Amino acid sequence: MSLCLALILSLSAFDSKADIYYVIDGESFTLTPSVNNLFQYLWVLDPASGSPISTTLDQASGGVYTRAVTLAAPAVAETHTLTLSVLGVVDGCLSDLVTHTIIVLPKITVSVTASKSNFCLNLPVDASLTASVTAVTGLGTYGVTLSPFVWSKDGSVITGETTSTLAVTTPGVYKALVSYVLPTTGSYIPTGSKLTNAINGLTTTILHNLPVATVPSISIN
Amino acid sequence: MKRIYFLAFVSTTTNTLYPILYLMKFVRTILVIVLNWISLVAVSQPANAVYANAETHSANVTNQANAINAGAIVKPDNSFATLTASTVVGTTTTWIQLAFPASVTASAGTPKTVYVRTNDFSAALLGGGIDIEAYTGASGTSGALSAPAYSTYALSDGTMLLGVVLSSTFRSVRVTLRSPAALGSNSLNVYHAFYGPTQTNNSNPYPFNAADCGLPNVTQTATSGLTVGSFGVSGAGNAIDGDPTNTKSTFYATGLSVLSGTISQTFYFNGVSNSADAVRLVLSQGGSLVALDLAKSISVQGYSGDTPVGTSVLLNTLLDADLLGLLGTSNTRASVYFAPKNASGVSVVFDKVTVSIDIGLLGVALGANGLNIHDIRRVPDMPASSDITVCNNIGSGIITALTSQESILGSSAFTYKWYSVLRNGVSLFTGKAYNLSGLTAPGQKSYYVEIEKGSCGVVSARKETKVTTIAAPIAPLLNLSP
Repeated sequence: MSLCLALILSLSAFDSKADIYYVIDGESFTLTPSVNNLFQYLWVLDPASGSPISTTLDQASGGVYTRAVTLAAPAVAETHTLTLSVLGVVDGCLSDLVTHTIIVLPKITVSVTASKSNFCLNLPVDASLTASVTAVTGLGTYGVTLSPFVWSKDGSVITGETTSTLAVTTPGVYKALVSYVLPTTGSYIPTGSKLTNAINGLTTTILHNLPVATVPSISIN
Repeated sequence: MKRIYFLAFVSTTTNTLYPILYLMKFVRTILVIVLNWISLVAVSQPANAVYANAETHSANVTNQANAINAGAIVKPDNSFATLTASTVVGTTTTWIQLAFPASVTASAGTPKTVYVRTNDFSAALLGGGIDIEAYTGASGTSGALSAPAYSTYALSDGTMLLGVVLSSTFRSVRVTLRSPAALGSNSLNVYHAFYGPTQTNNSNPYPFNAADCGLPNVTQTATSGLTVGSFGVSGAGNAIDGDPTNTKSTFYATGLSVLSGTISQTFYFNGVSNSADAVRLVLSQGGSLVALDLAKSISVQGYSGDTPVGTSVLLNTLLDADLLGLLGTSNTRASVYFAPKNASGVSVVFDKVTVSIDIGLLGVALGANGLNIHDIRRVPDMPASSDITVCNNIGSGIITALTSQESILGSSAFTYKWYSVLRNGVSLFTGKAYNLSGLTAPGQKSYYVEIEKGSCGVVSARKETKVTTIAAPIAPLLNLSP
């Protein structure tokens, strides 16, 4: 017990920056240690902040850490730190601290607006769809970018359409999506990522069923 | 007891006297050093000892004025009267009677011990002898007390004290020397007689002096169960003269017809010990006895007054392999520590220690140069310290030591020194708390700490303090579950 105290008091213990993980705002993620029979796992989220969150896991749990991090501002990506130290045996030595980086990316909504969403039955469908992405900031810090658009109609991807506008000539349910592109160079190359539910693509339906007005028959009396 | 003479100088504060003051200081320092050395070797009397100051004597006594504290003679000193008793036709006796300034009150309940300092007469008195009687008068033989036989104590300077316990009021003691059984002469030097007016027990009447560096005042030798042959302890006073190297007392036994009996030497310290005191013995053997056999036949026992305290300990239990090796080599000194403790391991206080050899246990002849005691003195027992465990990823820790005697003598009385070996070696650090660093390899290392009380130069035994370095685990790699 005095060993724990000694290590906690002496933060001059060797500190290694280890993994970088990308996760999504509010989406839970799970980190599993490769050694699952240590006596105790001590996780601390954001130890240097005003409100660190400590989680102590016992041997039975295998040290598996599950958490969801919520962004302070929903559209601004944030860096969080997660430290792990372990005790091999009760009253044993506390390991050096390993500091991992958790980069939390905002959820993105891609909405599609149509120039015209319904057409007269006697006219061809001729709509122009424009996709817009919720503004998010902070991605440039890490070198994260958004992919080109991917349009889909009725659930099937329309190949070759990668810009923010789509000329539409047939009715259907249209959706545009982007995805996060994680960096492959620089200081924030991911060790792992969990990006499910990152993007919410809103659909726009193009209809072609506006009735044509019938010209009434004229009779002279 | 040490005597320190300070020469007082009256000085006036003028500049011209400063050089003279420095010279006076220098001279005084030298004088103090010289007198301290002398007193370390001189006899140990209580500071308030009362000396006989009048004498009467028979024929064949020379320099009788030297035996009393009167006129030009200031006791204690090293001047003496000489008694000579010769056998020519028949045996004769020669005596000197030493009277105290006033009658000395004594009773069976509060006896007084009178000590007469003489030269070492343990070499045979050729069948003659010495008697001591006490009388109520300052002279003459009226009012004779019934006195028990005297006890003989050896002093560090080679002289002896004959102590006789008197249980009724007396004024003088008479020392009688008897001539040899056959033709020849005996002689005896008598220095003085004294008693301690504030003595509190009969076995060790000296007042306690905390600054005595642990040396015994007097020592006694005894044998039992041995009759034929030449046996005993020679040079008894050498064991308490403060020189742990060259001078020594020697237990010897030659020409024994049976191999049984004991030879012992008892050491009287300057009053009762502190709690958690120990004794450091410097021993060697002059022969070629097997060290383990010799050690198993030697026992060490502490006493408080005449009562044994603590368990009697066989010397072999105090020796490790290194010390056995030293003791096994002829004339090679080994320093052994003995801390009197009771059966529960609690330290006991003592004012006397006896070292005995059991000839029967030894099983072989002790020889002419059996066991030598070079030095014996009281030292503090080793301090207490706690083992520590250090994580190799921190790599540092502090080991501390503390002696229980700090509560008696204060913390500034002790110097703590740390070593990496049990004996000898170079001190790594001085102080109670030793900061260690660089402990990165898992394993165990021992450090040893000793204490020195004041500036006596004699240190306690070393306490082993274990530092265990254990390996810290490594935080494992992670896997992000999708």
